Amino acid sequence: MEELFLQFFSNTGFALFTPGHLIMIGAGVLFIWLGIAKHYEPLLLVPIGFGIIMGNIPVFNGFGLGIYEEGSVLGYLYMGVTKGIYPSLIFMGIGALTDFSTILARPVLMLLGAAAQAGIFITFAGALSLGFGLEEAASIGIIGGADGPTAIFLTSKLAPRLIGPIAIAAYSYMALVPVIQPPIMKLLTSKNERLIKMEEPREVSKREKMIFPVAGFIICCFTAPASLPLLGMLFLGNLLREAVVTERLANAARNSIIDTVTILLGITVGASTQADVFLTSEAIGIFILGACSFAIATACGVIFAKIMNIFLKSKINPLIGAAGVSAVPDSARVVQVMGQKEDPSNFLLMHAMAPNIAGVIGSAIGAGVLWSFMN
Amino acid sequence: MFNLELISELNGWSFAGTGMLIVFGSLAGLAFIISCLHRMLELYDRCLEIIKIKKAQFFKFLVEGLKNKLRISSGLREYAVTLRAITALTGEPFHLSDLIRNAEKRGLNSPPPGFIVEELLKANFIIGDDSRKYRWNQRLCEIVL
Repeated sequence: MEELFLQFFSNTGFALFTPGHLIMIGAGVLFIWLGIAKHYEPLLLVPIGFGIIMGNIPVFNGFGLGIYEEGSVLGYLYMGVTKGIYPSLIFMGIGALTDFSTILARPVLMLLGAAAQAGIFITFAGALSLGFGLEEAASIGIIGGADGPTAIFLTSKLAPRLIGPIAIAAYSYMALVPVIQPPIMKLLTSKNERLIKMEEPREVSKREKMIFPVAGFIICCFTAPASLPLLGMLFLGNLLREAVVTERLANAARNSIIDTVTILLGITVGASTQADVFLTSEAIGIFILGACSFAIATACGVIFAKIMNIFLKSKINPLIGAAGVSAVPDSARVVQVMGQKEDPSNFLLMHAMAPNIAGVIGSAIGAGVLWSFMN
Repeated sequence: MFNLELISELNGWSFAGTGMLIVFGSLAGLAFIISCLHRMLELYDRCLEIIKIKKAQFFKFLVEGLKNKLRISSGLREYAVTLRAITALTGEPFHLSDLIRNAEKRGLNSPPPGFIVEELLKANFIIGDDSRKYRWNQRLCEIVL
């Protein structure tokens, strides 16, 4: 009987436990705390945090419990990540949630979304200089797109072993948008620039909104076909929203589907951060580069807005350049808060949504371009 | 820590530069097309409006023609066909006096060609221009005659 107890104990978490597990469980608890107490992206951080704890419960290898073990339930759920299914479905939900009228009203603001994607490629070069391989560097660079699903999608195609750290880094920085972006925005703009009030956008017709998803999809995917899985679903979601007659489908895409997939994505990405895979110097490097990528992307957007102001008759508030790093709609909200701090009567949110959406499209194109380069 | 040579070795500069250009180019292209979209739609609407007006005009004309067809007698129609054949020989535009004279020369006296020409003028089969010359209303003639 004693032997049986000892055998049972040897298979429990208490016996298999290592300091690495403790650190990761602590990280999971921190994520949950940030989500619940600090309201930093709770819809993402709570499932990811719980997933981290799930993935770091010490289990006996061979029981088919761990996410990397063949036949495990978590392993099957994780296939949605490794096969790029969840990111595409999330993009459909984003499309069904997003109103593209700000882009249609003032298309020139799309350039800010394009400029912010420079962060991806600068970080890609930076990662190469640190000794990462091409595929890994591309996966790290995409963190600068500040788009979790895109980062996961590209990493699942190019460097699947890095999905855990890259996804965690991408989502962490997305959650930390209100902390990371404001100092950079403030540093790069003068008070007068932050006070600029922008012209009201023109009214956009329903017909334009319906044509855009089809035309936008064709143009983007003809240019960068590798971005088809992400952009196809994004524009499909938006078409369902705007077509009116498909309201039921749009409703499903923006509610039940995106919620279900977010839970599954969060749990599996969290669970993929097992201590032995995650606690490496490589992961720390990814986190540092991810932060740089995010900061560079923000700076590029703001600087480009200032450059555009040299040529534009109707000036734009350079703060909205920071929203070019996708992270919908948090970075746009940060712009709004920053603008209102300077002048409470200045409403920048709707203007910032244009580069914000362009950032989503741009990062998906960027991912497609990097993927095609690596093939 | 940073080794820039590694970037060159792996062709990283070209990848980064080209990638940036493609992303920027794609979004700039999309922005350009979107900026044209509402103008193209306006143009399309205007074309549709013009087509609608022209269609309405044509139908109005068609209805008028049919009304005329009902109004004019078969005798008058035959007479008009003959007069049209005469002007086909002499050419358009023509003076009314020449038309009447040519009709009389060809033996069309009953009813008098002057009366017939007046009827055709009233029914818009013959229309005048600024130089006091006249021509056949081709569209109406095609429908009615």
